[in-house]
Amino acid sequence: MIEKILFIENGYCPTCKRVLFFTEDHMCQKCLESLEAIRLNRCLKCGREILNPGIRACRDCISMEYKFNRGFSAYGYDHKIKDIIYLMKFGNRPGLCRFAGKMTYRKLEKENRLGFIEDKDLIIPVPLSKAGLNERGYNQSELLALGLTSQWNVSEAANIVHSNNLIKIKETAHQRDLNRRERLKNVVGAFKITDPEKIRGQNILLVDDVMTTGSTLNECSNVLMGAGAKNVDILVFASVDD
Amino acid sequence: MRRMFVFLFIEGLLMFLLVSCEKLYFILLWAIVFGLQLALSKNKEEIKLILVAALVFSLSISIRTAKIDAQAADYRDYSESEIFCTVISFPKINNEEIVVDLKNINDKTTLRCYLDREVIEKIPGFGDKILVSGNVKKPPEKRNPGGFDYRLYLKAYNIDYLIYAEAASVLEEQSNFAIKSISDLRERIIRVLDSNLEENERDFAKGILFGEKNLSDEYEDMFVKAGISHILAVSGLHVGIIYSFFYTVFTCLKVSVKVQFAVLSIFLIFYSCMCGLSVSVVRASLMVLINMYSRITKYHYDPINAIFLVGCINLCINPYKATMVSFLLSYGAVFSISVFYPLIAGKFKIKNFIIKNVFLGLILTITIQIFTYPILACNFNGISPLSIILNILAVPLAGVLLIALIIGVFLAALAPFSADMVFGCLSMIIDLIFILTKYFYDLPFSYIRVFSLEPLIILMYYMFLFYVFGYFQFENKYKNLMPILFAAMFMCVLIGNHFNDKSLKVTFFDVGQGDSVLIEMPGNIDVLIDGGGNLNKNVGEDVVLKALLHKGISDLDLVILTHTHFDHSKGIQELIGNHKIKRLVLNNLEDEKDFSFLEEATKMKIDLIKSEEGDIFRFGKQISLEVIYPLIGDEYVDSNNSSLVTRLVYDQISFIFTGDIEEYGERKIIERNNEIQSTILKVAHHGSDSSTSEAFLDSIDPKMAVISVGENNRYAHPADKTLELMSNKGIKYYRTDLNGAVMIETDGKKIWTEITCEE
Ligand SMILES: [Zn+2]
Ligand SMILES: [Zn+2]
Repeated sequence: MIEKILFIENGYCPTCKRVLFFTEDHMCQKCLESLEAIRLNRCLKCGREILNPGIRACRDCISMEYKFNRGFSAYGYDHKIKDIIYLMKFGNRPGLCRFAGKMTYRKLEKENRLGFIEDKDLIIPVPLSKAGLNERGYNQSELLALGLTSQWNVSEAANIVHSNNLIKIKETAHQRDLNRRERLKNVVGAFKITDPEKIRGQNILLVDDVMTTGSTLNECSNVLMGAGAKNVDILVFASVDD
Repeated sequence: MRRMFVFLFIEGLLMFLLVSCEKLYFILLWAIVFGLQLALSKNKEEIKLILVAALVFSLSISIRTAKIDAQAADYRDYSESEIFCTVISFPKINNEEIVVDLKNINDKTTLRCYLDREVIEKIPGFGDKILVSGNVKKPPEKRNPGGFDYRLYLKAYNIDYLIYAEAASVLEEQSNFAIKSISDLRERIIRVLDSNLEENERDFAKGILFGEKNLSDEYEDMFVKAGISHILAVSGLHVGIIYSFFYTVFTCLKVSVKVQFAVLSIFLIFYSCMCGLSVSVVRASLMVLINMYSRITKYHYDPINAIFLVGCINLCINPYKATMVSFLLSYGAVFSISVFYPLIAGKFKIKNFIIKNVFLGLILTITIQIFTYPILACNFNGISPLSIILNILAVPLAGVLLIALIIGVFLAALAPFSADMVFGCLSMIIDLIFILTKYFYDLPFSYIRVFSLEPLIILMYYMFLFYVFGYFQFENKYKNLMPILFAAMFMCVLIGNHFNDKSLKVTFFDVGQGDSVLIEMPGNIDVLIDGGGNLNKNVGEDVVLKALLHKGISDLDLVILTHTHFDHSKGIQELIGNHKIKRLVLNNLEDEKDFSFLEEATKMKIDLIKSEEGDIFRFGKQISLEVIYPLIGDEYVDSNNSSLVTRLVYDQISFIFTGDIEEYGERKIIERNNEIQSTILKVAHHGSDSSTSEAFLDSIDPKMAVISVGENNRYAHPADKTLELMSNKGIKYYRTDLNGAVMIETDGKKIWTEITCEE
């Protein structure tokens, strides 16, 4: 018990490095507020921010046929968010992942887009490979999804996140080391559905922490659609601007 | 639940203050903190846990405090008998004196024992049983405003009395193997150092290794004023260096974290014991171990929680430790590093490795310096601004030296032939540190005297610090809360000062044998009459100047030197050049040559006034200070009877300050038949029987008297005759040898008296 009191995950704000004295949040109030700048021009399909104001869809969405339907992205991949994503992935910060889920929920709430997740039958996080999960101890996307649903009514939230159906069967090279084309190729055949029955005819929300080229999300959507899903939408905590 | 230890620590501290100061408002503060903690809890289980933890912890702290208080208060007279004791500290050996702490085996009281080398044949070691007899005393309390409270200090070490041993013998040596081996090893290391290094170098090496403060006064002063004496107290710095050393070695050897933890914990426990379990080494060791434990278990180490957990442990061991400067500095330093340093350091991105580290070092020392400023100001009344730079140079050197010393000592034990070379290098590093320190010590503005701060100001200082660094900057409806709070506090300070300013305060300092009186008048006008003086001690600096800085007095409008005897004048001499003085008043009977410091005074642009009967110094409408002796046309007879006698009048209350005049002078004053009736009399010549004649006392007719006199002085002052005379006349009198400094405050109508200590 003393360990629980002594060792806390969120002692410091990950972005400004101020001590978090009494808040249960994983970021200080100031930094949270500084992230709240409303993003106006988003890609109509994948939800990432487009810097050029006259354009309604991002280059990726135009150039390649994504298998998912629509997307929502809570934040841009800037310095502060980069720090958070890094800690979610490599900082042994499960609590922060859940907190990112809560932040995403608040963002949806603020933009009046709760309908985007509320009509879903299933929420499926992008999986890690077995080795990756062992090394990290948790799947950041799964915790992100759980953090997101924790803001809901308990009975609904309990079973909606399915993390064992979509699995990663092939160890892939790190996406960040590859170029666009290699990334697409890299993930082909990496994912598999274990129980297609549960997917058939369902309206699915696919959740991941970060979207760069969208190739992982695309491959997962492909597998899910192949298993007979009715619709796949995606939700990411952060995406790289176009 | 979050930050549980922060709350527990504050609650424990408030409980300790409640019991030790007996001020009831601390219970109120405690209730506020406790309420806040409950308000921040999330569920019933947390509330249950908090209730149990806070109450049990606070209660045990208060019981512990009460117990220590009771033990120290309960004085027993041992003076006649021999005491059978266990040695409970490592002996501290100076040239001719040994200091050890003892525990009386019969009644469990503890004593700090001063032993002459000649008194005892064998130097007692830790755990030995010895028989001592000698003069047992209670440790002295604080005796002057801003003075050092030795009794309080010793309470933090659990020491009840002092004993100056006249005879002592070791009866039985320590038999416990573990303790014996630690103490033997320590002795052997010290012997190695003693035989291989020169005097100052060896003292310095002992300081670095064991935190034993043993430097000569000259070097001690140099290190304190240059602002790097912390490298001589085994601190977090040392433990940090040892940790990084071990870490590097272990990483190279690819040792697993668990083994690292085991080895390091054994080493640190061992090392902490050798350092006599000082506050800072215990703090640092525990924090490093908590950090390592979190690495094994993959928990997230949180320095703030760790600091306060260790603080709670420290409070449990002895709550009085929280009153020690070393406690405040040690915890203050790590706290500031944890709270402010990452925030500032994170703002800068420097590529060059060397520039980056120098820069970060600078930020680190500046952070610590800013955060600990109030602690330094209130306890030492001095800061060393250049230490920021010196630290960057000396701290890495000290780190290298510490590692080199540990290796060197082992080498010298294993391969004695290599000792010469190793210690040659060591002494070079030490000399380099000496040279650096001396250089910075000699620079102008290396040491600046500063005023103490009032508690409210200190609170404001820290709140402001947090505010500036972006804490408590609420964005919503509380946006203006902090600025309003600052304004309110500032008003409080101003109003407090305003009301305080109506009264006149006269402080008779306890300067030992001698005289020194400070008069604080409304409108920040301050007058000093004499400055005390002792041939062996610098009471002018240590008592008078310290009190002036403590009270925040920046300059003295008037300094009156009654006559040239050193127990009145040497203190003034020490003040000149160290504190701003506007006017200096001397009697006009004594020869110019007797005032040895006139040249210095002229250099400092002090107005010199030679004065006699009839001179009146006025301060505002209501206050006047009139010289009533020496009379006009008097001839010089002796120094004492040349004393300036002054009478201070504030509305209906008057004081008469008589210097050292004797019956001769008193008779002349009576014959002159001026108005000399006064409410308060400073008894002439430390209460000697050659002064204070019945006729003089009758014509002054005081309600109260103060005798400024040293304990056990060789003149047998004050005389029984004088004391009897005053008792018979029903005059209430105070003595600085018994009461410490005596403070008398008046609004011109009523008087309030306060003494510093009671014996
Ligand atoms: Zn922040
Ligand atoms: Zn798009």
